Formats: sequence, structure tokens, C-alpha cells
Amino acid sequence: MDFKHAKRNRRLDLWIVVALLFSLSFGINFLVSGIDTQIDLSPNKKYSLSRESLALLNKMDQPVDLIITLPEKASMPKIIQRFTHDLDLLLDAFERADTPFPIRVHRMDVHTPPSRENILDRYKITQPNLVLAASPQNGTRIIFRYKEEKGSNPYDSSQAFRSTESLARQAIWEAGFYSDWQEVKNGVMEPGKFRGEETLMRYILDLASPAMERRVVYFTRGHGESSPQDLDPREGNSVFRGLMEDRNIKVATLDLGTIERMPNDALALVISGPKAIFQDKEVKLLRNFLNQNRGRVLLALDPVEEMALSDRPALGLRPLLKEWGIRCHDMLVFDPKRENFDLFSGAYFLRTYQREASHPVIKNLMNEGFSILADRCRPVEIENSTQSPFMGQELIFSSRDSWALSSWTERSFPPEKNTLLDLAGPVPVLSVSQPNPKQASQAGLTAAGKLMVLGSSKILSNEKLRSGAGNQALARNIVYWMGENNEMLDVPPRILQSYSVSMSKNEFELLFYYFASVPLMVLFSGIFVSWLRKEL
Amino acid sequence: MNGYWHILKHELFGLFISPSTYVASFYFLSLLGIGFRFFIEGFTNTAWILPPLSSLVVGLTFGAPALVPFLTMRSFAEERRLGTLETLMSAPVGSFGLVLGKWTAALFFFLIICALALCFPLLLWYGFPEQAVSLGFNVLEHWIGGCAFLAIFGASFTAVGIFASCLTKNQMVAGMLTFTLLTLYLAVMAFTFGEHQNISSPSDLNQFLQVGLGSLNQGLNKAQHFAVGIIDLSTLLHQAVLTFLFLGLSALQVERLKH
Repeated sequence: MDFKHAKRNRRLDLWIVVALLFSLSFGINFLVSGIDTQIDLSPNKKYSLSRESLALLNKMDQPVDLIITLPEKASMPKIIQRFTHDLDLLLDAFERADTPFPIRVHRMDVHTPPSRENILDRYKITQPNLVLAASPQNGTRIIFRYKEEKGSNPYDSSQAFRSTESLARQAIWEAGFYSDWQEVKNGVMEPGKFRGEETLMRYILDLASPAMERRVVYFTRGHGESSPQDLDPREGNSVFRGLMEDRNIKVATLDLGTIERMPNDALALVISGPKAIFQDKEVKLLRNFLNQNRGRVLLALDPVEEMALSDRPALGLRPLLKEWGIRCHDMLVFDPKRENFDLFSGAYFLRTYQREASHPVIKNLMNEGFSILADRCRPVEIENSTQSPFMGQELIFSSRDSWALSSWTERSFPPEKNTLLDLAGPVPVLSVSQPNPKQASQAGLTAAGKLMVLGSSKILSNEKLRSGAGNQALARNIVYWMGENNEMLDVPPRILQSYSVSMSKNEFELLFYYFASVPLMVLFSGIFVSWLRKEL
Repeated sequence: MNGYWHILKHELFGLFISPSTYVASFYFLSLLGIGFRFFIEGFTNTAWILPPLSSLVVGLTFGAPALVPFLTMRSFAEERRLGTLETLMSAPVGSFGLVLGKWTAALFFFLIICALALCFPLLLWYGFPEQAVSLGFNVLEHWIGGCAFLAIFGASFTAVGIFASCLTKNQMVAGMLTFTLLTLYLAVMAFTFGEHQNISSPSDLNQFLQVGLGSLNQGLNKAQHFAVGIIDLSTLLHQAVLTFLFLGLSALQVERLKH
């Protein structure tokens, strides 16, 4: 072999080795990408899923897709960036979780042309800025929706000034991902706890369970009730309907007077602010639904102003309520204290909760210190007896200064307290009743459902749900309560660390000298070494 | 192995007595210190959502293209220019040992500069303990995560510098090449920041290639994990692979120069 060939062969060998080195690195990189081990160094492994979540995830019956169309952009408000950061860390933990069926995370851009098999097409997702959970069998649930809104004009005196950051903070707040909001520097509200794990778990469990047959919440009609289609701020329930539809619960209306039996797909029944008497047949339908079909009934009753003596109390529902251990007198809650009313809207604040036995429907409201905006209220008391197959709980009360007026239409205002007939405050305004397992089985009520009674239907009106943070949280909890898989999760929140600095100008100048010491030390070392080199 | 230690000692000695490394370190640390001081001053008004310590880690990572060339450009280019490489290769040390020795020395010096940069938050802690606590400088996992990120990316950056130095006799060219390669590397990371890959099941060739590139385009996303104290094993391994690739290419080039 001559030198020319030897040189050529050597060069060829070299390029083969280079190609092999590249392909080896590429191959190892590919294999290494499959390793999803992460070492969480934080105390209590706060960036890993809690034991409670891991135990609950073992109940999964099918895979779940978590789809994020919310982009990570530096132009987004800070709170949204923080949310995407916290969510990313959490989603990584969900992806790595050892579950019977995989939880797949898809971060998608709805504006880029879809590839061959696109998850957005499969679930018909077209909107950006969403966080969704989806499963092939149970459809999709919107967990978070962010509407990019520009702040209002600060020079426009016709409306209150809201910055883009403030609007974004409100959107995040409403989604319930964060809690323990506290005012920090510059009067800005910052969250103290991240509840993302609990929120996502709720949706994952809802989707990963077998497909539900009963997915319709029926609003009754025919008695002057509020309608789920009505957009009217004071009377409508369209916002409440939206909350249900976000969880893929269908909403329909129903006239109890025209049907013989409740539809099979009925998950729950909402009676929102009726004004006319329920007939015996209708009450019987309600009773059957509650006692035999695991039905959930939400009854929102307002104080009745015009009532004849011959009319039956509680619009004919008193016997049914009595069976379930609830007493709902035709009284009006009166509060003499002005500070318990909103100065502008005149709404009445309900901010007293049952602390001894916290119920999942009010737990977060109580912890966060939320107020519920209400209108005129009537009392909803519980009559617990040891023999009753049902056990009730009073959850939300009017203030200690208030009392419930009997025969209130005939009283003069301001009324004088009638200690014999009036009900002393705090007056219960929201109560729930559910079967007592032991007594209910003895009474043959093994398929009994749950009953919730609200003493004011306006709590769930469009106006109150839009303006009242507590009302929104309560409505969301009521929707969870209605759901088939309604176990309230006890997943611990992640405590967030907020960072701040508060130093004077002089202190910052001093800090500059502190920092200057490091490069100066390097410079003097260099001078010393140069001098040493010359000397030696 | 004996040869490796001799090379390492020789290289470290060379770096410690070279005025250029001191000058580069002085300027680098000065700029970083000024930047960090102004970052702290305006912290409450910035959109920075990660722990403040991570700003220093990001600063060191993005400042690396300005620093690493000064540490690595001499290693082979100078030897080739002075004609001492042939003498060095006659010593009982293999090409890989030679490359490894010079790379370790450069990495060691890079880590020393990182350690000096991390003195800034420590000095703040010394002078203003309450402020340091409110800035989260007392959280150990932030330090561990940040140091791990710097160490592993420093390893791959210096390996790129050593490779560039092998390719030419001219120090300046080696330095410029290192700067260009590292800037390109960081640009890829910055442009792909926020784009997450479906690594479990790449469905087309593009995704397959992206997964094969590893943390070359996902490094900055993972920086957020390291910043809060989550050590991502795949990122560590990706960087180890990248280091191994450039050191391997450097060894091949040195081997080629022998003949």
C-alpha cells in the first residue's frame, strides 16, 4: 500500500470514528431522555406528589390527558408566569407518578399547524390559555381558563382602574389554585399556598373513574324559580350553570308537575327561589329521588312575602324537610348592624361558619375567611334526633347581632325583638342533611341521597357570583358536592415562599462595596502573581 | 493515571500564574457583581419568579461564553504554536489522558470563579442577615441545585472550549470559536425555552431529533427545576454525554496530530 492510500484510509477511519461518536452520543441521549428520575431536595419533598395523592391515583380506571394551551411567555403577567412555573413542576410530578394508567401531559400551541395525530383535534380544543383534563371516555373538563384582558384606562373616571396584572391575579384567584392570599409590598396580593395538586387530583379522579351515566343537573320550573338560562344579574342562574358545564355536567330544566318519574340521567335537582306551592305529586317525586335514587337536591328558598293563611309552609316542602331533619320557618333574618351590609350594593354579609365540625362545602371558605354575599335570608335550622335516619349540619350563619323575625310581613321596622317567637342569632342560613349510615340502613334508606337547603336563592344569582369571591367558592364547592365522585380531597397544599428585599439607599451602597471586594481580591492576587513571576 | 495527574498539575499551575486568567476573572466578577447588586435593588419590581439565587446561576451560565475561552484557548493552541505539543505527546500519557487533564484544570478554574461569584449572596448574608433570609439565601436546596447546574454545564462548556483549542494553532481563533459555539448553544436553549417535548413517545422525525439532542434544547427549562432544588437526572446525564462527546472529539484530534 502506498502512502497516498494509507493517508486516505487513516482519514476515512477518523471520520468513521467521529460518526460513531456522534451516533453513540445521540443514542445515549435518546435513552437518557426516558429517565424521569428527579431528586427532590426540598424539605418534606414538597415538589413531589403527596402520599394522599399517590393513594388516590391508584383508583384510576383509565388514562387521563392533561392539556395545557397556556403559553409560557415573558410578556404574560407575573402571576400567570408564576402559575405556569408552579404548574410545570406539579405536572412533572404527575407524569412521573407510578399509576395504574398513565397521566400524560401535553403542552400544545393551538396556533401551530397540527401534526398527523393531534391531541387538540381529538378533544376538539381550539382555544389558547386553557388548562384541561380529558379522557377518551369521559370527555374534557376545563380546569383553568385565562382571558388575556388589558387593564382599564387610569384616566377614565367612569370605571375603577384595574391593571392587567390585577385582572390576571383575579383570574388565578377564581380558579382556586392558590390560597392564603396576603397583602405584600406595594399593596399587592400574593398567594401563600399552592393548591394545584388538590385541584388537579379532583379532575383526574373525576375523569379516571368509569363513565358516569348520571350527568345531568335539572333545575325545576313551573313555580317561578330562577332559570339556568336566564342572564339577568339578579334573577338568573347562568353563571352557576357555567360552573357546572365546565365540569362537563349537563344542565337542563324540568317541570315536576308534568312527569311521572325522575329521568334516569338525573344527578341532582336544583330548586332555586321558588315562589309557588309544590303539589303533593311533586313532593312525592322529590322524596323518591332523594330517598331511593341517591339523588342530590339543592333547595334555595327565599323568605316569602305574600302568603295566604291557607298556603302550606315552606311552599309545601315542610313535611319533606322535616323528614330530613330540617326546619325552614317562613321568617326573615334581620340584622341591625350596618357594617354587616355592603355599602354600595346593600348585600348582606354571611361570615359565620360552623367551626366545630367543618364540612367540605365550607372548609376552604372558613380557612380563607370568605364572606358570602346574600340578600334577604330565611333560617334553615337542623332538628337532630338520635332516632332519625338522617343527620344534619348547619354550616353558615348570619351574624351574632342578627335574629330571625316571625310574621315579619306584619312587623314594623326597625322591629323589636320578640324573645318568645323570634329566633336568636346567629341564625343558620345554609344547612345540609344526609343519611346516618346505621339508622338509614335500619330504616331501609340505603339508597338515600343528600339535601342542601339555602336560606337565600340570591347567593347563587349571576350578580352575586360575579362580584362575590366567597359566593364563587361556595358555588364551586356545591358543584363538587353534587358530583357523583364528590369526595373532598385532603391533599396538603404546597406552602409558597415569597421573596422580598427592603433596604435603604445607603445600605445598597454599602452592599456595592461588599460585592466589590471579590473582584478586587482577584485583581490583587493577579498583581501579586505577576510580581512573583518577575521576582522569581 | 499518573500522567493525567502531572498534566492536571501542570495546567493548573499554568492557569494560576497566567495574568490573562486573573484579568478575565476580574472583569467577569466585576460585571456579575454589579449586575447582581442592581438585580437585588430592583427585585421587587421585576417579573423574576424563581429564587433570587438562581439569577446568579443564570448570569454565570449566560456569561460563560465570555469567560470559558480565556480558560481553554491556551490549552492546545498555545502548545501547538510553541511546538511543545510534540514533546508533551512523547510523555507516557495517552491522548485522552492529556485532554482529560487539560479539561479538568479548566473546569476546576471555572468552578473557582463560580464559587467566588457565589460569595456575593454570602456577603449579603454577612452584611444584612434579615434581607438574605427574606431573599431565600438560607434555603440549602437552592444552593445545591444551583451548584449542581453550574458544575454540569461548566463541564460541557469547558469541554467545548478544549475541543475548539485542539482545532487551531491560534489562541484567538480558538477563543473566538469557543465563544461562537457556546453562544450558539445558549441561543438554542433560549429559543426553545418554554417549549416542552413529549419525550415518552416521539411521533415524527423532528421530535425524534429533538429528543436526541437532550438538554441542548431543554436545558433552560430544567434550570427552573434546579433553581428550586430538584435535581433532574436526565439533564445531568445529557450534559455528561455532551462532555464525553467533545472530549472524545478532542482526543481524536490530538491523536490525529500525532501522525
